[in-house]
Amino acid sequence: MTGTTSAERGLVVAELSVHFGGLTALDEVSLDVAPNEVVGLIGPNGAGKTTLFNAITGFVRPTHGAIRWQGRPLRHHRPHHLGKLGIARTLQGVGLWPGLTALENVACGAQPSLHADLASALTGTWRSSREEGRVHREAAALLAELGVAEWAGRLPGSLPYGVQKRVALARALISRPRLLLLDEPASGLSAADMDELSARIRRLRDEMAVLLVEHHMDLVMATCDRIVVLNFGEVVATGTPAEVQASPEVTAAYLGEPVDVAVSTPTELPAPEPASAAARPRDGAGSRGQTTEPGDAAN
Amino acid sequence: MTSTAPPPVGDLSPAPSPLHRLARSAERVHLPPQPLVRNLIFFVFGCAFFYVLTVSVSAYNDFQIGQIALYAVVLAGLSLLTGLNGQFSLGHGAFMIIGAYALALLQVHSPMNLALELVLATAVAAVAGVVVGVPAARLSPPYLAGVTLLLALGLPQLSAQYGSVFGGEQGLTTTPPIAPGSISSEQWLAWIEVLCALVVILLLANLVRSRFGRNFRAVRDDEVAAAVAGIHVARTKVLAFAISAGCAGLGGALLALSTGVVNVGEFPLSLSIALLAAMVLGGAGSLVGIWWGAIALVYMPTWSTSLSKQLSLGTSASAYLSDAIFGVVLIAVILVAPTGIQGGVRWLLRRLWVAITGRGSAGAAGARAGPLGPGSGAGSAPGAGPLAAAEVAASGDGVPPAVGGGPRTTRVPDDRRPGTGTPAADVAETRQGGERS
Repeated sequence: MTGTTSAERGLVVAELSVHFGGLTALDEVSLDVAPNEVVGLIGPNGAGKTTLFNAITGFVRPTHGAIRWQGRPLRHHRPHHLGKLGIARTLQGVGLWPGLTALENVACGAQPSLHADLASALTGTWRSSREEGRVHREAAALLAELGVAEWAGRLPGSLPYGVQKRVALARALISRPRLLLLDEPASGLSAADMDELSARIRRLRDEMAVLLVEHHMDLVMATCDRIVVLNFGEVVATGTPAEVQASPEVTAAYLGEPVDVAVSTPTELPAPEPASAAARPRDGAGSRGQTTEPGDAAN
Repeated sequence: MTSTAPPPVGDLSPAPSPLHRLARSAERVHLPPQPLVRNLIFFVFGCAFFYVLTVSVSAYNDFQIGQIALYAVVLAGLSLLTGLNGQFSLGHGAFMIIGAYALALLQVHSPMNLALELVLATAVAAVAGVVVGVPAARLSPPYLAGVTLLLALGLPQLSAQYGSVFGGEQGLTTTPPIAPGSISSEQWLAWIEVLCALVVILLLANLVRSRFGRNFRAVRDDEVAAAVAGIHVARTKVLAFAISAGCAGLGGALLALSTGVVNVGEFPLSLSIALLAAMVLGGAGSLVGIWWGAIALVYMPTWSTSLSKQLSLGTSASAYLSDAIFGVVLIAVILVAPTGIQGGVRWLLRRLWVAITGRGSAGAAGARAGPLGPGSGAGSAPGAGPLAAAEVAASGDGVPPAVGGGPRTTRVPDDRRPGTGTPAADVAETRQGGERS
């Protein structure tokens, strides 16, 4: 765990519980993300990773517990407050608006810095047009930085998946967040794209804290400073990648018992095959990252 | 947008430094031009066009041009609501009623400058739009359509209920504007209506190109993503509804002005449905297409009367023929050509452009596939997503190269497209991986 002072300036989730009726999605989950830290959040499907993201971003109200961001409690925040709070999130898949060009998609992410009033927007006058010019230039620069500038004028549906993912990342980055929540940023990416993504997240760390949900273990291990493992809504383990990898409980909880020794697989733990098979369809595209989980299981 | 100049691909690598490369590539990205100048040019062009048109036709035709213009005002708002924001209203006739009565009451009780009266009537309808829009923002499209339909049904009852205020069956009379000099009153009225229409379209064309227009489309396409990006979804929807109600109110006020009398009989339920049909016919989300819809609205009664004469239908059948035609047209357009007439016009112009210049054939092919291509992933609103997407780029113009997002060829990535790997295949692959380990 990091020191309380730096953690206080970042994100602190304290004993957070979320119940959906009788279902406990999160059970007293605590974690913290310090500024300039990359924290990975892993766990099998249904472990509560996305629910935790939804609670942090105000889509889901926690039943108990608290979320603090930069020392202030987040109690009644709604998703549209995130921009002003300096929190940005990418969605599972890509979540781009199909009717907006890549450039417009990114420009639309700059909500906190857009202030043009309705009158100037209707009349198309200076206040609105200057702002539009600025945000379009910023968006174009960001797309260029991510190496997808030539796609700026295209609709997302006509873009390669890897490009769509970068546009989605650019949309989150344009608001210059201090906390970036990435929901499966590597799903459907090629190995080369994934390496680049990993390097990019490491660079982003200079400017922001990153909380990352991902199924690709080699990306998580290579990218994250710390890893929090969730299973059935509870934190199973927390530690550096090496610690988490070495932890037998994590291997058991997250990846299941090794196939060859699992004569009597405990019923509550998912065996590796169904777990990874269930993880795949949501990733959309099959890719070379496919074999990482079984590979790690062997470790 | 980039179809006129091919996008700069491939020549990023020889740049000396990353920073330099970044700056250069940012320069080369084709940024959308500031819209005001272009929109103003179209505005002036429109004014000139209608001036020539109105002085060269008869007084009766002037009246009809005025009617087309006032319906264009209503349809502009409706087109913004449905095409850009993905909301449906079956009750825009109700907002026309509100605008019409607001104007008449103003003229009866405190007559003032006509422009001010029209602005106030618009504002009253917009406020009514907020009142309806706040609950409507929480409703999904079918329920919203139901609520607005109820509004169109219920609101006329108020005028009968409060006869002393609204004049009951007779309604209220309006004072027609006095034409200066030797101009005929029909021509003067047509000018007022056309000017209102062109101003409204100018304002909306600007709005479409602003952060508000972008937010409208973002909310239409994906509300969750919009909220995450920091857009207040409900407020955005209410704003779209209010603007569109204000447009309907202005249209209603102009109608009251041109007919000289306001009563609810002028705004039957079928009007609201005809408005929706005309908007879809013209092309949802298109500020050019609304003119096609407005022309259809004004001339449909004439056409249907002559058609029923030819078919020698009875009076009761011919009374509903116009509604029936609108219904059939609505279904046919949604099924056959969801981009409406304007979508077809754009397609033709694009083909013409290709034939003349010999360029961008791939773009034309891609764009032709447009309504089907992105439409499959664009969500539930029938036709709203993809067609508005293409239209917004062209808002206010019909020039082919400006439309859409450049060469929309299917440069499909080799292996990384979502959905190409079926779950079954993935499972099989995973199994293999499991066996290997």
